[in-house]
Amino acid sequence: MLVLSRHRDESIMIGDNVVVTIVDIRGDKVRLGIDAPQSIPVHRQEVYEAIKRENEQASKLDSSSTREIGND
Amino acid sequence: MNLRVVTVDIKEVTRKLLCGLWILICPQTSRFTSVQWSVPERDKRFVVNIDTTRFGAVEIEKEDILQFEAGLIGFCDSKDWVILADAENPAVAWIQSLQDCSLALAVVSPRRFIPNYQVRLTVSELSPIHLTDVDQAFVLCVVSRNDNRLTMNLRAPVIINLDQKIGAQIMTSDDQPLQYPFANLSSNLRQSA
Repeated sequence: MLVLSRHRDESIMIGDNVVVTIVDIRGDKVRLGIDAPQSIPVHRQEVYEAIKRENEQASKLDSSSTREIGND
Repeated sequence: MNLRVVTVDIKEVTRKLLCGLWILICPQTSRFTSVQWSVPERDKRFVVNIDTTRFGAVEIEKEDILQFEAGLIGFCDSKDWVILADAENPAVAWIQSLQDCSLALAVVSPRRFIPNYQVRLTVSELSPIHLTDVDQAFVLCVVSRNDNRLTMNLRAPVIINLDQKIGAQIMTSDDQPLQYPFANLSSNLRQSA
């Protein structure tokens, strides 16, 4: 992993189009500003991983197990 | 073969509410209806045969293929999907990958189950599907089974631009539940009893 030291208000470039700026540092919390093209989705990793796991779980569902949905 | 490609009824319009930077999509309840082929009009040039693991061989029309540039979350290699109606249950459809014949996810129209469900997104989050008119948005939620309960994912709905036949799974900006249990299912009630 590449590790870079940055001060507040300094940035790093990822490729030609993505800029990550250190907006604020308070204690153990860092606020990042991310400027990326709209085609590149940006997510908090734990949220992304949770949705990925949920989709993988959903893909194991077989076609008979949804029978009772909507029978109200 | 009791599965056919769904043609989404465009008249099931969604309402839009613009609140500052946010877009709220209020999807209308929709049913997934099977479409019968009218045999004389079928033309092989417009038909694709897919061999699915769950549903066997299925014929789809090329114009029903939906492009997901980023795939679904965790399934980024599957760019082309089609929505198959479940002939035994009009409340459920299956979004089937064309790249991976074993990959299909059950989806529902969330408003059928949660009348006040709204999708809160920023304008830029809708840009991957080039949605300029929110009335063209079709919202689906993925069904899963967790701890033996059937749940739907309200956090990251699948949003489809009906006009351009493109879609994306988009994380909502607010904190919607990832595993929202269906109410009134006998198996879910047994589980919570």
